[in-house]
Amino acid sequence: MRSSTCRTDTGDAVSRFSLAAREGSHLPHLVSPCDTCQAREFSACAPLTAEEQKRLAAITRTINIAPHCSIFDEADPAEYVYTISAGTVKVYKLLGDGRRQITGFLFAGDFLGLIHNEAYAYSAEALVPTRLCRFPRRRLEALLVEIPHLEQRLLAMASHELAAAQDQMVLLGRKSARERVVSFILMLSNSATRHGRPGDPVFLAMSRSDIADYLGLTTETVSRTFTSLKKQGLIELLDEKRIRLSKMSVLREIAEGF
Amino acid sequence: MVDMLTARFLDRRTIDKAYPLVRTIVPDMTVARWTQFVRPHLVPRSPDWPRGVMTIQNAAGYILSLFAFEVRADLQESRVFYMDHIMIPNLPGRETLWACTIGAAERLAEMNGCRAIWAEFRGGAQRSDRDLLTSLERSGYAPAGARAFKRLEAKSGHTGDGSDGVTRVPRGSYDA
Repeated sequence: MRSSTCRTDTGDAVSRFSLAAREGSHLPHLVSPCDTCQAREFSACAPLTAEEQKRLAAITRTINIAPHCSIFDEADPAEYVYTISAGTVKVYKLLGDGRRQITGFLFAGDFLGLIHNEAYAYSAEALVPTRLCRFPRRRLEALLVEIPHLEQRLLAMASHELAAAQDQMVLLGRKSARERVVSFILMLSNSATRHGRPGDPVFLAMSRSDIADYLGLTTETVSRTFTSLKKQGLIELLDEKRIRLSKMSVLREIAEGF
Repeated sequence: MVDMLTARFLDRRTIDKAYPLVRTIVPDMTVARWTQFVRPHLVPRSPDWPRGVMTIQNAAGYILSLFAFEVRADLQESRVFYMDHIMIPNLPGRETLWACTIGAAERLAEMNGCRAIWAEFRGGAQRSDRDLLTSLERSGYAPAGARAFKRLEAKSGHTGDGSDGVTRVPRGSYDA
């Protein structure tokens, strides 16, 4: 689904910056999305100087995606690279039998569409209201040649769909459903901390069905495991989307298979 | 940059973790086929003739590239380092990644007393192969010798489609 209700294109950063300057705004710098971006500090953009930031902004469009709307589909031409400024995205492949296989979740500060051939090898969908910075791939690659430390940070630090898929493979290597679910919760907690958000309570942007698909479990098993962890006092279900980690050390032991 | 990317040997625990990268380069690869292929590579033929799979990982421990290697006896060069199944995805900054991957291979070859390196690549995205050849040439490599390839018709019992006897828990149907 990519209707107009799904996507709001707020235009390119530079023209909005210029417009604000022309209109005599006393705070023109606030117009740049980089200045107000909450993900910037922990994203690959962090080390950019003001001048470099301006050059990056010149090729950037900011896009808002409504929950459950597609960002791109598998086999679409891979023309753009995205960074997630806010929100959560799931990436998935459609299997030959029509089933969907979620291969990763990406969060604010992560890249999307970074690794490609000619077409995207998977689909991407927003789980919650999501803001993206969109870069034309060729222009971004040209810019990276001119800003080598951005390229280096991108390689060395950036998380993207390949990293998310590797996280999933590690989780699937866990033997029991309980180990997988607990490892997943801790992964979300660690990811939130790494991205400058509180790691406890853990925010679950995804449905139980998405979690089940991602972990190779049934939805019933995921729900049953959450209930069991709650009964044992290891977690507290604050609401449908938030989990408090009551006994972190025990949860870590479960994740490690003890 | 080099110290932000680290070369690490693939081991049995990280076979699965490398799979998403392999699938990026060879889209129809299954976990079972990858596992069946790579496991024997992780066991050296003998202590003097090592082989294995080397990965390049970033600071967060994610595998960004890999290659298989083997030290072989060579009639003319004595000990030669063979690298193949070179898997480097198309991502911004890949030239740095190529340089790091080739550098890791050369260090490993030197450590093993090799006098030459053969780098072989095939089967990946065409653009990636071209770019890799360019990158190798920049590092002093040149096309040498000749190899010919012929795909043989599959005979019954050897389908090569991943039906290799390795079983896996189907997704979405696992219960504790």
